Amino acid sequence: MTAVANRRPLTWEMAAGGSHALATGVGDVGTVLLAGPPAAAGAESLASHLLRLGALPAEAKRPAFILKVVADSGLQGRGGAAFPVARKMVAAAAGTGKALLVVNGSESEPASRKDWTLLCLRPHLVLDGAALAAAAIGASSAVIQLHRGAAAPSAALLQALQQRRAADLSDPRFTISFGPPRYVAGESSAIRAFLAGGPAKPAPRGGRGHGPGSPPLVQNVETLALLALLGRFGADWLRGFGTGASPGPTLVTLAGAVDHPGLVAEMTGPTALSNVLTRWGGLAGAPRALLFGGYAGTWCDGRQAWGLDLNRESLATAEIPFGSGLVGVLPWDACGLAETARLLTYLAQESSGQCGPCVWGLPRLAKEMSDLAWGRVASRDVRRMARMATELAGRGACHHPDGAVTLLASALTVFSDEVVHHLRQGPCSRSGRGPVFPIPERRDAAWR
Amino acid sequence: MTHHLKVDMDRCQGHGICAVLAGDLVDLDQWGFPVIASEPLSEPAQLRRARWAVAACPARALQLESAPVPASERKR
Repeated sequence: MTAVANRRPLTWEMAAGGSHALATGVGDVGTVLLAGPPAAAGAESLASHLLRLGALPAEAKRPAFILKVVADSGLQGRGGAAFPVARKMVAAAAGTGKALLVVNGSESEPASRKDWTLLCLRPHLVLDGAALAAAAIGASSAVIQLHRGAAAPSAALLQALQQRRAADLSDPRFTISFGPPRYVAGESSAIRAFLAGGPAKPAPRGGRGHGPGSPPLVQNVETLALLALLGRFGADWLRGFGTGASPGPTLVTLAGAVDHPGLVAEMTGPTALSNVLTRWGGLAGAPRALLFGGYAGTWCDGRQAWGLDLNRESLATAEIPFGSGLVGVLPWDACGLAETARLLTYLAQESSGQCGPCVWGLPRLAKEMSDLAWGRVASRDVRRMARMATELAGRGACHHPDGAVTLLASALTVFSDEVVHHLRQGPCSRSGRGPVFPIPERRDAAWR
Repeated sequence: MTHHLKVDMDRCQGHGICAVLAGDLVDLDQWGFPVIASEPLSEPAQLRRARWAVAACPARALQLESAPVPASERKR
């Protein structure tokens, strides 16, 4: 009954032509969401999907059924915030006016590949889940939101939609919408603003308010893929995976100094981080540091994090964000300060320009960190930078500056030895190497 | 009632008038944007200055948030 057939992790390489690579290795991690044909086979066809999983049971499309099964399962959103899906759905189902589902495939973490991989390899799983979510809230149409330039996911989706139309599935009317490929543009309030005709910028804290009717329900593609399995196999089945507080299998992306950056692995239970990184990342031991929660995330000392379990619950007890499942590896031959400077520069560039603290504060933090990484600074400069970061925390119109502040604060703690070295002797030899994490080039500065 | 001075950062233009009118309640960061203490306003004179600053904000970014004191805290 369960879909645990293929126990190989999948990787999606962004090389020219978008070829797939497959990493083998079986640990205590199986694949449920990514079960089925190997990655090299590309997008799974509707025929294969239905043969493997069967059609969605008719009762699964009753709103009462789906709302109950989602509530019973305790499913949390997989976009990063881990908000209970049931609460969002119930609110959307109770809303007035025309309901709309937004399938959020605008994965914005530059090193994250999990949503991309799901859309490219298992489009029907995502679309099944979208059909269920749309039925639950009474939406007759659904918008699939992608970043401009996401050619492979959009090709896979177009083909999948064609197959579904030919098979005459009772789907909502799907449309694909392309938004600006900006870091904050995939956030749900930014998508709502974009679909309402405005710039794809996140709403200020406390919300922006919206026009008449209820706001669209925005759900991440991994959440929807889980919903497709939940509708077939039920809440108890889903609770058999993951952890108590965060049920269901979870996708993570390995990034940085691993064998295959961009490898997407699926955690089906409480898996040891060291196990994931040695088996799939090709690591021989603890790295210098790990980056969790994305580019606006938190650094962790590699040796301290080595013994942790890789799931939202265990990381939360160590006050580490799980976010959308990015696990970034900083090797021993890289400088954490240089890497932080690059990430801060990127985050500053990705400010949506809505408030002064972000517009002025983030570039300044990035500059100060760059001076520490590549220039000569004194300890009072570091103190000033830390004070400036503290002053920025919590003051932005949205949460974007807060992420940069946490990243910086964690860098000063985790890389304290490097700070001392840089203060005494200037840039270390390791700060001269190239970036560990990919920094996207800004080709498209538009917010529409 | 407890009163807090709050600023809508996406509206704030950094005019800095609040810091002139209510200097004990509002500091400006190095770029001229307000940093507001999180403690509630306690004295009537503070409240007066806060209302003055709110009324004078050209961007209408400054607000006075007033809420009844929760029963649990009233006992203390």
